[in-house]
Amino acid sequence: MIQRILQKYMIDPIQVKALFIASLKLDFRKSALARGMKLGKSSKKSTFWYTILSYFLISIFMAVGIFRVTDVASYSFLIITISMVMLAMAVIIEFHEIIINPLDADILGHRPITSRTFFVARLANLFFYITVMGASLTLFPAVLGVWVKDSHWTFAPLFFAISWLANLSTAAYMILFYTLLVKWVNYDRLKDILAYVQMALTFILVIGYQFIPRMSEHIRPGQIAFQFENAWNFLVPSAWFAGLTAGFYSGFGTHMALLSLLAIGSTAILLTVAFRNISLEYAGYLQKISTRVERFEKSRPKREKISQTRSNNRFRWVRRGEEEFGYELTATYLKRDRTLRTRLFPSFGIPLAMLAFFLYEGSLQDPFNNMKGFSTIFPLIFLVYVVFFFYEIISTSENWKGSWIFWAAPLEKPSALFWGGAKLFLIRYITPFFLLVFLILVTQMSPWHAFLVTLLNLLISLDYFMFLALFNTKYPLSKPFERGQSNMRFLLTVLFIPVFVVGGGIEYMAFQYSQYFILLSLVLLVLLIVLWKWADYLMDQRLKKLEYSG
Amino acid sequence: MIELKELTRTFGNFTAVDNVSFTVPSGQVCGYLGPNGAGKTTTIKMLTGLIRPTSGTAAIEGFDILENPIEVKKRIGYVPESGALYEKLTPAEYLQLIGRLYHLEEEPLKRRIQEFLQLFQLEKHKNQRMDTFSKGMKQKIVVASALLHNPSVIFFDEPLNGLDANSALLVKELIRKLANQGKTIFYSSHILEVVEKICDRVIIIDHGRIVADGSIHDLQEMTRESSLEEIFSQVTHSEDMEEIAEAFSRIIVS
Repeated sequence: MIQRILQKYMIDPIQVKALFIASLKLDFRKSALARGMKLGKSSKKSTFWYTILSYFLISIFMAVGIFRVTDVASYSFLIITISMVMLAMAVIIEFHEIIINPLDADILGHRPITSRTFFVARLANLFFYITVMGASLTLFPAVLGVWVKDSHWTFAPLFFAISWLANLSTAAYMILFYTLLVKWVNYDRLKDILAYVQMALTFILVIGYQFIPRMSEHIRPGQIAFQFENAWNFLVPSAWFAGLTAGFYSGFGTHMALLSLLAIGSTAILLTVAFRNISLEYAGYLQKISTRVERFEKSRPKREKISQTRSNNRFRWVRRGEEEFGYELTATYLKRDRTLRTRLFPSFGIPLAMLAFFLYEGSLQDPFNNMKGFSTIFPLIFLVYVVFFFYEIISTSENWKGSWIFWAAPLEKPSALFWGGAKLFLIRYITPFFLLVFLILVTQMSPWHAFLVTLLNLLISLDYFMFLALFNTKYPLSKPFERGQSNMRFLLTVLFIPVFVVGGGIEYMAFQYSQYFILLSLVLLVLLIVLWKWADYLMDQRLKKLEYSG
Repeated sequence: MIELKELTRTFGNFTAVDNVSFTVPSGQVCGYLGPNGAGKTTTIKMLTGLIRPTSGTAAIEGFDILENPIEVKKRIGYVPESGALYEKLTPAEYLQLIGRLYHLEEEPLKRRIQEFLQLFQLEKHKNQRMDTFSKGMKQKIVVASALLHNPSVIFFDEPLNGLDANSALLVKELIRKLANQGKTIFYSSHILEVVEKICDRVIIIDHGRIVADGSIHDLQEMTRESSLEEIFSQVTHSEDMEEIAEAFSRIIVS
């Protein structure tokens, strides 16, 4: 019976099984090259496990943070929203290649696999990830939810099942979104769009939970309670699933029933559309990706010319030689290596989102005048997070194989390559960001105070930048990407909370004892120089001993 | 058998393959040559179903590549120039995956994998992940994966990439033996000495168009040149390489 159904839809179960098993093996194994391993040795730990762990930790933080101040509906809404947004981000940044992987075109494109078989195998892989990651985000909140106001022991299994459905629906949205993009734009442009979407999702994740309750005017001190009668609920998919959960406890009135219908109906429709339409065109998408890559390669010389002209015009901040090479190379890669951009730029989403939110809320006050204005530092302290992310990402690239030149070239000062890239990051991205911060702060306080606040935060960010440089052991752009690597930053960010606290402590001292502000700034400046020289020395020693593993 | 009729592929304004027509009968080793960017790999990618032709048709073993792509793919083996593999798998796992995609039965598949790995001297590495392998070791697996399901038409795109002398010799001998068994071999390469030795027929393509087609003997008569290298140079209108090399060396010294 099943065989007949599968045959009718041109799905080969043997092939699906073989492809699914192989994809799991591929995803759960960390690349030996990423770890610099030699012939015969292999590392079986994948960064995917860190993703699971970091999601689980995040779920504990969010559930513990809200379970005392919410009812069943609000609790479900907040957890499901965060879970859906985080999974969408994970799919966009890490797992979009599960949906369509260009490597498949080379290896499997000429094998006798029908479009639907391919699609079902990929879908199974994606659903596996969504299930595991979704479970790590919702399992703990499901259990803790039993103690939420108006809840019952049945909440745990019910919420877990409904949140799984919500996550499934997220996967379906992502498939539709991704395949529509592949249909309409070329593969390189697609990666650009993914970077912007990820930035928007980061924005939603950081400030969305602040905006939505305010917009609905149903937040009270110490208590969050949503009214599901509001029309805006019908526009937010996570509200549909929260409505479905809450309906079991408060009864399915008209609104709850409609929301529940939307939850179940949208998932069913999305999955049907994905299966009936996209699956038939799936092999075509693979062909398109491989064709478009070729077309892009053929148009490369024109881009080369533009880049040369720009680089000749730029003001020189870097020393000539190795440092200049590092600067130019990083600049070119950040322009052309779309995976690198997809991973680096969205990290600016958090400070930008917080700045926008604080501006909207009117919290950007002068910290020199009253300590209420101390909250002004929060968006800025998140620059530490961006800096941290720079280190995590700068050693990787799509074109990492070209890094053999770092070992082959007679480099007298290998660390200069890193400093070239680091200066590019500081000049092109960090400095403009602080200029923007200054311009925003000027609207809220005197120019002098705005300058001092900006300066202090810039110094703290740079000190932190140099502190992290002490631990850098890799050449820039010299390692392949690992799936799950970006999600690891959530875990590492949690581990780095003490560093955030130290930064906050320094700022508190600076504003509380403002008569010593200049002295403190000078201390930070001296620390910056000491850390820089020390990091430079250490990096040189390490890179000279580093073996090529490509 | 491979049949192409006015096969064309364009990328925007650029025509990579321009109205190419030829037939390769069963049992023939057909060399497909051309300068870089001439359209060799694009032709192979169309014939193996990786990209679609802009116009024209082609058939493999009587099956049209657009109308019956799955039937075509069941009958072909392909050694791509990229040598792409799922490198985090072991050779045994990778070949097992490929075998299952062709519905080979488990026990015979295991035996065949074992034999292939033995012949390529990779048996002791069969459970090591391929991301630690040398280029030549990976290439052996790519060749093995193209032959695992006993295809009747085999496309080789630079198959000797990275292979050591013994393995290269083995692959060359293997190609001859496969042709003797009646398989159609389509061999694209820049190594003209190898093409000269193993191919029954040579097609030379330049700027997407066929500029020469025939046996080595035919081409020698046509161009009045003695070696394939000279024939290639003449039909593709290559510039005087000695002069270019001289200019290069002057630049290097200066």
